[in-house]
Amino acid sequence: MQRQQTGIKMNRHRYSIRRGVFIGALLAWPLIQLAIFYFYVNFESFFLAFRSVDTELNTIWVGFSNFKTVWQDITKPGSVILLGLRNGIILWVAQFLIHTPSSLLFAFMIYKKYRGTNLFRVLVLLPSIISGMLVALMFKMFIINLPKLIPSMPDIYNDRPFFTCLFYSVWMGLAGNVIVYPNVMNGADPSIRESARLEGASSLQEFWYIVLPLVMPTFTTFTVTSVATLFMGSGPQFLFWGYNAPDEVMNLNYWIFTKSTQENAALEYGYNSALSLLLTLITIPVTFGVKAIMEKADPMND
Amino acid sequence: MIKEKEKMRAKTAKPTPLYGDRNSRAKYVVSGIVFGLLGVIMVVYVISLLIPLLWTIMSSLNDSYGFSMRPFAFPKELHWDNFAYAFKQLEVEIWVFSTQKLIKYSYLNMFLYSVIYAAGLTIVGLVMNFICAYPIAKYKFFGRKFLYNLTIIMMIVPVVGSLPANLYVRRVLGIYDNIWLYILTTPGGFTFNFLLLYGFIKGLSWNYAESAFIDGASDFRVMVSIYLPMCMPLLTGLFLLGFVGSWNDYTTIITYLPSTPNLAYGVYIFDQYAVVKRHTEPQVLAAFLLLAVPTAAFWVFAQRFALRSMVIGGLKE
Repeated sequence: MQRQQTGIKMNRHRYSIRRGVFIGALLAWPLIQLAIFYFYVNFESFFLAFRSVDTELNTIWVGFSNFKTVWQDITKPGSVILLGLRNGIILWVAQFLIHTPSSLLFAFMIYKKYRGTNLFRVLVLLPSIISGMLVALMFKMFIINLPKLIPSMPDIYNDRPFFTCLFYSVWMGLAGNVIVYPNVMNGADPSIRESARLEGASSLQEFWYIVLPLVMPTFTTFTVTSVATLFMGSGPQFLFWGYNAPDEVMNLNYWIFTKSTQENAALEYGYNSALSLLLTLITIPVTFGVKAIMEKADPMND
Repeated sequence: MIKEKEKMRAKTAKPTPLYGDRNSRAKYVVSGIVFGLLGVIMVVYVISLLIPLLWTIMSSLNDSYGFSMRPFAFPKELHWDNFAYAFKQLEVEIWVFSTQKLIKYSYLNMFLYSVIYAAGLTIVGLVMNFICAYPIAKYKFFGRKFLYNLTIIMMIVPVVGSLPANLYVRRVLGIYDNIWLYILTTPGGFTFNFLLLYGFIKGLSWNYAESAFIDGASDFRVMVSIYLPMCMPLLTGLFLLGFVGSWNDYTTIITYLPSTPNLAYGVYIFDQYAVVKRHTEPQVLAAFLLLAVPTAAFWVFAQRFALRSMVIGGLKE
C-alpha cells in the first residue's frame, strides 16, 4: 500500500515536471522577446535621454543636456514642439468628440440590422483594407484638383494645411470600431431586449439604457488606450508632404518619426528620447486619471 | 395638513416606468427621426468614401492633357497603357549600406517582399499569441495572473516615442534591416490578439483534454491536436486582418527594413518622385490601383471570415 502511494506520488511529481517543462518551453521565447524588445528597449529609451549618440552608435553620458535642449526648444518663440503638442491635443479632442457618438450609433444600427447596414460595414472598412496610405494619397490628389471643379473653393491643401489634416483624420475615423462594437452588443441577453420592448422602450431608449452600459467596458478600453496617443497621434502629414510638411501641421509623432529616420538620425536619438520621456511622464497620470473616471462612470461597475 | 397629504400621495404613487408611457408616440417619433438622420449620414459618408476611389479609377484611364484640363470629366479615350507603364516603372532604387551597392527592386521583387513580410509577420505573431494564451488560459502556474495583468498594463501605460531606442537596440544587436530577423523578433506574444485568444480559449471545455490525457496524450499533443483546431476560426479571422494590415504597412519598411521594400513602400516612392521622374498624374493613380485592387479583391472574399468573433473585454482585473 505504501509502495503504491509512493509510486503515485512519484508519478504526480514526474507529471508536474513534464507539465512545467511544457509551459516553460511555450513561454520561453515570448518572455525573452518581451524582456528585450519591451523592457530593455524602454529601459534604453530612458537612459538614451541622458546620453549623446554619434553615427557609429557610440554613446557618451551628457546628464540633463538633452532635457535642457528640449526645454529651450519648448520655450523659444514659435516653438515647433509646443505647436506639435497643441495640434496633437486638438486632433485627439476632435476625434474623440466626433468619433465616439458616431461609432457607437453606427454600431448600434448595425447591431439592430437596419436595412443596408451590412453593406455599410463592408464599405467603411474598404479604406483600411486597400491601404490607409493609398486613401490618403488619393484624397490628396482629389483635394489638390478640387478647385478646378469648384472655382470658388479655396485651395485648402496649400492654404489651410492643418484644417486639411484635421478634416481627413476625422473623416476617416467616423465609422471606427464597426467590427468590435456590434459583436459586443450582440452579447446582450435577448430576454433583456425583449422585456424592454414589451415595456415600450423605443430604439433610442434601448440604446441608452441597455446597449450603452453593455459596451462601456469595451468603450473604456478603447478610450484609455487612445489617451496614449494624446500627444503622439499620427496623421496624414507624412503621406501628404513627406519630410517637408509645413510647420503648421506639425505633431510630435511626425516630428520624432522624421528626426529618427532621416540621414544621421542617430545624432538625434538622445534628444528624441528626452522628449519622449517627458511626454511619457505627462501621459501616464493622464491615462490613469481617465481610466479612473471611466470606471466610476461605468454603470456596470457597482 | 396639505404637506402631509402630498407626502401620502408621493408614497402611494406608482413608480414612473423607466421608458415612459408605453402609449406615448412622441418617443418613437424622436427615435425614428434620430435614426433616420443617422441613416442619411451613413449614406452620405459611404458616398464620400467611395468618391475619391471612383475618381481614382476614372482618372487612371485619362491622359495627361485631359486630366490637367478636366480632372473630373470622364476620359474621352481609355488609356489602359497607364497601368502597363506603372507596372514597369513601379521600381525602387535602394542604397544598401551592408553591401555598398545600389539595388533596383522591380514590382515583382516588391510583391515577393510584401508576401514574405505580411504572411511571415502575421503567422509568427499568431503563433506567439497562441502559445502564450493557451497555457495562461488553461493551466495554473505561478505568474500566470501576473502575465495577464502585465498585458493589460502594457496596453494602457503609454510609452511615448520608443522609436529611437528601438532603432538603437536593433542596430546594436545587429538585427536592423534584416527581414527574417525582424519577422522572428518583432511579433510579441502579449498583445491585443493575446487577449482575444485568451478569452476564447478560456471558454473552451477542459473535458476534451482530460479525455485525451486518459488515452495517453501529452500536453503538447492536446494543445496541437485538440485546442489548436478549435481556435482555427478565430485564428483565421485574425490572420486575414493582420495580413491585410501588414501588406499595407510602409512606415515599418521605411524605419526598420529600408533594404527590403514592399509594394506599399514602392507606391509611396512612385508618388513622391512623380515630378522628378516625370510620371503623369493618371500614371500615378494607375500605380495606386495596382496596389489597391488585389487587396480589395482579397478582402471581398475574406471579410466574412474576418468579421466573426472579434470581441474585446474591459480592463477590469
